[in-house]
Amino acid sequence: MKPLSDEEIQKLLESGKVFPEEKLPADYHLYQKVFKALQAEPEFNLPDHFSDRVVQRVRRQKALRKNVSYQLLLVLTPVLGIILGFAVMAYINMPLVLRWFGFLWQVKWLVLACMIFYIFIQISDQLVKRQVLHRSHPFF
Amino acid sequence: MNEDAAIVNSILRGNMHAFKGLVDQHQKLVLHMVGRVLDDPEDCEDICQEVFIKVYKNLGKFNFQSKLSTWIATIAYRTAINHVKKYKKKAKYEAEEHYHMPEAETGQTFEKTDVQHFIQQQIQQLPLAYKTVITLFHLEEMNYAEIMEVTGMPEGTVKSYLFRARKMLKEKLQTLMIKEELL
Repeated sequence: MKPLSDEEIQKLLESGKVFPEEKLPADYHLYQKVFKALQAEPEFNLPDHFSDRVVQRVRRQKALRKNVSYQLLLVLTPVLGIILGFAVMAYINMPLVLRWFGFLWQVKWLVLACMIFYIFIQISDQLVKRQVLHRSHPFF
Repeated sequence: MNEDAAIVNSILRGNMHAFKGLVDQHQKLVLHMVGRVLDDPEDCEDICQEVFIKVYKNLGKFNFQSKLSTWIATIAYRTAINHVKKYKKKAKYEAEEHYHMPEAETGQTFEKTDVQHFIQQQIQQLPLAYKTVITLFHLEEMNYAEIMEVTGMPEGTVKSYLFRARKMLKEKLQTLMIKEELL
């Protein structure tokens, strides 16, 4: 009888069929060991409470997104309010709007500095919060 | 599939307890995928977390065309592969046609090294595509169609990689046993 090829042995083991022991080639037992090892759990591990850490991380990201939306709203609302105010004023009294623009142009560096300072404070706040969280939960 | 739908809908309604259950249920699958693809076990937890965060963010896009586990395995596979491509450019990603496994360490005696441990070590030496296919087939008990979905490989390639990976491992074991007999 023709000996079984590697492919045939693999198919035999995959199917789980029993073959007469005396007809089995030497490689069959080697393959048997390989198949057994392949089904064994690898030696990797995740820490206990892994799922808690994932849930915490998701919650943290959700909170951060909410915070970013809130900050954007905080910046955009006054900006939109000012634009709308100027539009209404321009409709009623154009020279007054031009005077306002003239004033804002004079203090443009102060306005710009205030905006940069505000953004800097917000970014620093987020960085400090992240660092504090990272110290308590290194995987965040 | 109904159970999957119930879990997904519950999570989409904001039930974090259901999400925690999903993580508990699938963490081994993700760990096996990620652990086999990455060489560095230190990255493992971080990448596993990243996988579940992607699962959470994209759960709304899950269309129930496959099992939830297959979909999660796909995300795990892609995340791990991307990590390897990004940070470990020298990694053996491609399943080279003429790939030869490095020789087993000499001096390893069969008494000292049990077969399972030896084969586990050899699996880690295989090219990524081979490791992935054997993990999904043997450990996760996925069928060819599911493996094709996870890896994006054609059925013929999956079968061929599976066959070659097992043959390589058998040959390594054979070499080790011959060495042991000679010693």
